[in-house]
Amino acid sequence: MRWMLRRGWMYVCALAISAFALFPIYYVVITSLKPRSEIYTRTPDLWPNHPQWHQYTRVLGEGHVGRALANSLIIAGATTIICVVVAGMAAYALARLEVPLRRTLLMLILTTQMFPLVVLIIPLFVLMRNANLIGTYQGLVIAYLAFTVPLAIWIMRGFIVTIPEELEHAAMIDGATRVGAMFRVILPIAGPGLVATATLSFIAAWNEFMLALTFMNEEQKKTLPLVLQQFVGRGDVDWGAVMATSVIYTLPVVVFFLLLRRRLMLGMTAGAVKG
Amino acid sequence: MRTPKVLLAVLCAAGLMLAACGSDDKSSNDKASASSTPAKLSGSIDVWIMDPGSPKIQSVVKGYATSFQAKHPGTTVNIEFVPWAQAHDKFTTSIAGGKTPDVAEMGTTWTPEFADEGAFEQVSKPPAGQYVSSLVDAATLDGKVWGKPWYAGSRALIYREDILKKAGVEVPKTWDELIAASKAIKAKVPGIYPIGYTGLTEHMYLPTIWQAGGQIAKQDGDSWTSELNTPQAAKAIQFYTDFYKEGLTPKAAIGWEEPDAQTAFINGDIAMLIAGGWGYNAIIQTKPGMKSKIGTTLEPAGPSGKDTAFAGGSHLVVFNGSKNKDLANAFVDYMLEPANLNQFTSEIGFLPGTVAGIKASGYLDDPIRKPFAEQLLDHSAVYPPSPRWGALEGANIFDGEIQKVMRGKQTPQQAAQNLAEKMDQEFAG
Amino acid sequence: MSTTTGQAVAAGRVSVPRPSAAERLSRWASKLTLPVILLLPAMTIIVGLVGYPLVKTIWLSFTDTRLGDLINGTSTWVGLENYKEVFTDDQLRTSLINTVVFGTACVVGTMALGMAVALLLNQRLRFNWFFSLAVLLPWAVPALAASSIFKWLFDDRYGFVNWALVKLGFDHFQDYAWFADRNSAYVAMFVVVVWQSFPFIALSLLAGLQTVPKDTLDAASVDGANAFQRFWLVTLPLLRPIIAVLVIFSTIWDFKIFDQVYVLAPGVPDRAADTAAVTSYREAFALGHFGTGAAIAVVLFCVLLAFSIAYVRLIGKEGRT
Repeated sequence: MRWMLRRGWMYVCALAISAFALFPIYYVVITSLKPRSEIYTRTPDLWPNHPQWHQYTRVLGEGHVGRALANSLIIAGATTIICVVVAGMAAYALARLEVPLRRTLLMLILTTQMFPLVVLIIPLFVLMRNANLIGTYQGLVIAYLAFTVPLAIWIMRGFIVTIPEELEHAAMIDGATRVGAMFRVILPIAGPGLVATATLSFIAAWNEFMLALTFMNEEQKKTLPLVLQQFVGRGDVDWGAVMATSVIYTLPVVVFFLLLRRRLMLGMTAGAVKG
Repeated sequence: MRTPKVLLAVLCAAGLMLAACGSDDKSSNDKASASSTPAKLSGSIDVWIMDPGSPKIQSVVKGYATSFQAKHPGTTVNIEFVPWAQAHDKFTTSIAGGKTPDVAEMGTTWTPEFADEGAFEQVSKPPAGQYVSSLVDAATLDGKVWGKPWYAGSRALIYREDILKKAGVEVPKTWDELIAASKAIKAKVPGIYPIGYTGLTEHMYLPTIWQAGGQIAKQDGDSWTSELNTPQAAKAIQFYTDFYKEGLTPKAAIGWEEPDAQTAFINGDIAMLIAGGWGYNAIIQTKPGMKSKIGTTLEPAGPSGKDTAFAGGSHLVVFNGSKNKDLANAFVDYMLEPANLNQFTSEIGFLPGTVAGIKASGYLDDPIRKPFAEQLLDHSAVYPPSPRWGALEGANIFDGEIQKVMRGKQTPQQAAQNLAEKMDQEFAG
Repeated sequence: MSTTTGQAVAAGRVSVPRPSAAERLSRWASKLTLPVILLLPAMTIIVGLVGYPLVKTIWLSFTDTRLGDLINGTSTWVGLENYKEVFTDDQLRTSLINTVVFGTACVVGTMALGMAVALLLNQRLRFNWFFSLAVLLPWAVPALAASSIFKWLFDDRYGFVNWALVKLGFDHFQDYAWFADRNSAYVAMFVVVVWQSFPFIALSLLAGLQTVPKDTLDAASVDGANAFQRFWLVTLPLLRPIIAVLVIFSTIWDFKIFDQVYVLAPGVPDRAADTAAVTSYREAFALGHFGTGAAIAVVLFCVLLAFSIAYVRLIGKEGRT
């Protein structure tokens, strides 16, 4: 019973927060299943009375959402992998090695984040045009790297810095090189941080709209955010289609989370350091 | 410590150099593509069309490309759809960045703006009577024409016959009748607002200035000056905003865009709506049951006796940066052929930009569609085709002032004055 | 320089001859090789892709540039004119104030909720898998979709929020138009932003919480510290580096917010709810005043830069710099 009192309020909090987090998503899903008459009603139903699945088939067929899904996966995936590798290396260097002007570099990296992306669209467009990368996957990936890498460096550095240096020294005394220590010691412990950063990069690239709009013109190459917009048409918003597309849009990330949740949540530092 | 700073400088310089000298993308190829014989077209063009939102209409447009390609083997026409809401910005970016499509659908209020930047290829002046004249005016800058009218539409008044009947009023034809009808609906028919005048739709409030006998701007040689600082304009603003102030429109309408008002009409929240033929199509498509309940008529006439509405639409333009202007122009002319034109416009509920097309569209014989055609042909006007108009529209300069009057934060006269000042500021560059 | 030599030197047993200049240079170069290799890809991307646009934007802010000028390269230098306009024009100044106030509120809200969630997750309650999945999901929803969803939830006639509030007895909210007024629009936007941002903060804080050595906490417990004291005196200080990073980034993000404001704020009369990013975009793309748009962005940048420097100083040594 004491357990109930001590932990009870925690459960209540957790429940309330879960409701806050999940309710809008739940609402999206049921709206995607409702016919128009049920959507525009003064007393919203919390359950679709006549679930209609046709929005999904419609959106995947006519709306070419499937193709856009593939595009988004390719671009976001490439961005994530490259970002983690590139930023990981830089973060390690900035956390452990004696780099000249380290503080300046860090500040420099940070300042690149301080401009709203939309302001940089035209110069970026000019850059990409000169490099003949407009309308290509590579061009968009590179553009995404520009704003995911700085952030990733900072966050990963933040994680690496909290890992005591003794661990690497121990590994190096055991004969490992600097780089070897990086792989054998830092990588496993900073695991959660790495996964968090990868997730961040993936989601940033996955959700990005403005640059994709500017760079991608061909229907074939459009990413999901662009395709979602097409249902917010000139007149009446096609809510059913918007919601269905949103669900499809969110699914891969949910799968991503499901697979990596353990890695994210369960740390691997149990007992790694003694004092 | 000199050396590390040098290293940093080298790093930065290297990075900047990498950025600055990309491969120069000058058009080295295709200088010879401009063929002289009209029948032999080749190469490929990119065509940007506003996303109509419905796959059905998309396929009509794509159909043009395929049938054109079949007629002219060896050519490729790439149709790319651009969402309306972001189209203006996309054009800005592509023009500024030097990579434009070959052909594009251009909103009529944007044509002068981009033409001023030299983005388009000039079009020879069409003979009078071929196109709706106001549409040609909208594409004219400095006496030269820069685009061909594709489709057009004018907004008229759509109303709920059943609600008007319940309130015991006739279809309003003048401002006074509209006010009276609204008040009657409010008093006698609960649960529905009389009219959906919004705070963000200039196509609803700006024409009232014409209806009051005023003008929006006047051209003086090369420069434009605002004509809004007049009693007529103030009267129009007062007429428009009074509906909100007296609770004859929903409270949220102050922040509505046109689609929101249309949705409200479909949902039965408002009884009268200013909308065009495309809106009417959308309404009966979404809720077929409404077809029997609604009627259409010309916009109510103001104290000056005028019932002018805004004639909007799109032009088809060919960009100066196009590497295949022959093919581009050929495709534009293909889209403007009467049969093709009418196929598209009837789908989307607009009218063709050609006078003959309008007459052939059958709108004038259809009692419910007739007001849209009439409004366009005889009771419509365009906004001042100044290159700065697009900026005025895009920055919602008008909305802010109208909204302030709706809120009671300033008088219509003040609004008229402020608007005139801001417009002149913008016109002066 | 291997550690053994170093130790030997330190022990005073061996004296190392002073290295020649060439030797020093080559040692310095080889010491740099690894960092340079590790840093080069990232720095190339950052300086190359962001450097040029940033520099160009800053330059633009001192000019009067229209679309034609951008194409032809004929901008007119106007010095600080644009900046003067940013601080004197009502709308522009308001948007800056909005940005700071709203941004700060979002950061506070997100950090608070994120910390609460991280602590709860660290407790490994029963059904932890459900809770952890639930709090992750908002992060998966794209900003535009989330904005549309919340716009719908806060709709005046058909929105769930109004219906629920009226049911709870707050009749004031019948048909309440959330997006027609600046303050209520901000409440709605606050909910959207916090809803979307807290998962990442929670996740990062959780990862940080897990690097807190259990032994230290146990030791504190033995010394008689209760849960709150353990949190305040042991956990929080150890989390400082991560919290610092998260606060800085949260602030930068929340001050830069674009998508949500772009979708939800237009209905507010006179653009009173626009934040700096949206205003900058509007000035540039809608009005064609690229110089003014750039100036707003630069002012925002300066604000964020000043904040970052000040905050880092305040926090003191973050980690092992």
